[in-house]
Amino acid sequence: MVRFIRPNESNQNVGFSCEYLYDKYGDMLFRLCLSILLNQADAEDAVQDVFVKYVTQKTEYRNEEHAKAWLIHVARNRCRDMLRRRKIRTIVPLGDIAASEEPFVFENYELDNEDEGVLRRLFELSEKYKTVLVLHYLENQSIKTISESLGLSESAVKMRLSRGREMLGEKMTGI
Amino acid sequence: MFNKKTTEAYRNIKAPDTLREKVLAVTAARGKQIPAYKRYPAYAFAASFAVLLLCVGVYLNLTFWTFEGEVRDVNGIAISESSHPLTIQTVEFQAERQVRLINEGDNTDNNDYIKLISERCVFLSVNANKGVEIKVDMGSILIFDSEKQSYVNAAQDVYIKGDADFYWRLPDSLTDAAYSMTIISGKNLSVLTVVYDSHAGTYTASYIKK
Repeated sequence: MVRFIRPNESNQNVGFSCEYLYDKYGDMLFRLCLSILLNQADAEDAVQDVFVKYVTQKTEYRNEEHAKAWLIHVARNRCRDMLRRRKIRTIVPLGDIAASEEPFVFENYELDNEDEGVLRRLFELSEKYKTVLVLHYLENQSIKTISESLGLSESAVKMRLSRGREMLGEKMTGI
Repeated sequence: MFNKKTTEAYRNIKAPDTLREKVLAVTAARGKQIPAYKRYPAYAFAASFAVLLLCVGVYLNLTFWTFEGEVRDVNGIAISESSHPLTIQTVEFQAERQVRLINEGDNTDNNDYIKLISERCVFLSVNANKGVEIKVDMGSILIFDSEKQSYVNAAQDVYIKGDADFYWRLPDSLTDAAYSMTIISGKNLSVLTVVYDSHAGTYTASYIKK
């Protein structure tokens, strides 16, 4: 059920309630952020920032699909910002370099070796390709929604999907 | 591309329950902190416009009341007040006026005394905090001395700073004539022109701020 909050009903953003959007898209955004940031704490921070921006920024949404695209767009940009800052700030001791090569720790989630292997290879791809692969194949988002979310043309999204598939295939054959 | 099992395994990754509570708590708090100007942009615009209007009003009002280096009135006819902002306005006025003048050393006690004489003149007042230079092409300017209670120091070119009442003594003329007074205040220039119509026997004054 879509709950539309009228301006006089809430002091929050005109559009959908934060609670409604979180319940519907919170997990998806968390997984997207996790796939980009490869760190649970950072992914939680990113999701929180997305919703804070949602309530503080006055944006008119045409429909729920538009609101979802906006959330994905903001989440992805926030993750990229965090990655940029991490590159600037992170100092990895020489002894930890081997450990830091592990891109993502799945220990908090119940995944068998096969699934973990596939997801690990997927998450090792560059952000440019894995975001479209995650959104399209794992989150079942349409090409149109992805193009709107990422500010790309539909043909560019298809191109990235194609290239991402190739790259992932190359990685999988190397397992 | 991915098999169903992998997709389901991925979908089983859920955000921690604590995140939901955290997000809702933070967004509720931040939602309340949205500044009024963001929540009500139309009101914010109206308020800004009102402030702007107020500022303009105050400025105009100040300009109205502080005639720096500008003529305030002509023989009681308030040119600058009635034609704000000062532009061209022509008024007819009575030039024959009684003037209190000091007559220096012309009494038996060898003291100055005041006499009342009739002159063709233009009475003016000026408020010039920054100082103004006033020149006339014909006639002369006499400034009121509050100590002597008389108009003194006839000259064609005077400098006035502060408030002052003065009058412009016009030359006697039997034919049509035009006289001008130039008021210079900083970069501002104003000209007061007096025209005498000998047929009608009237004087008109025009004030132009350049």
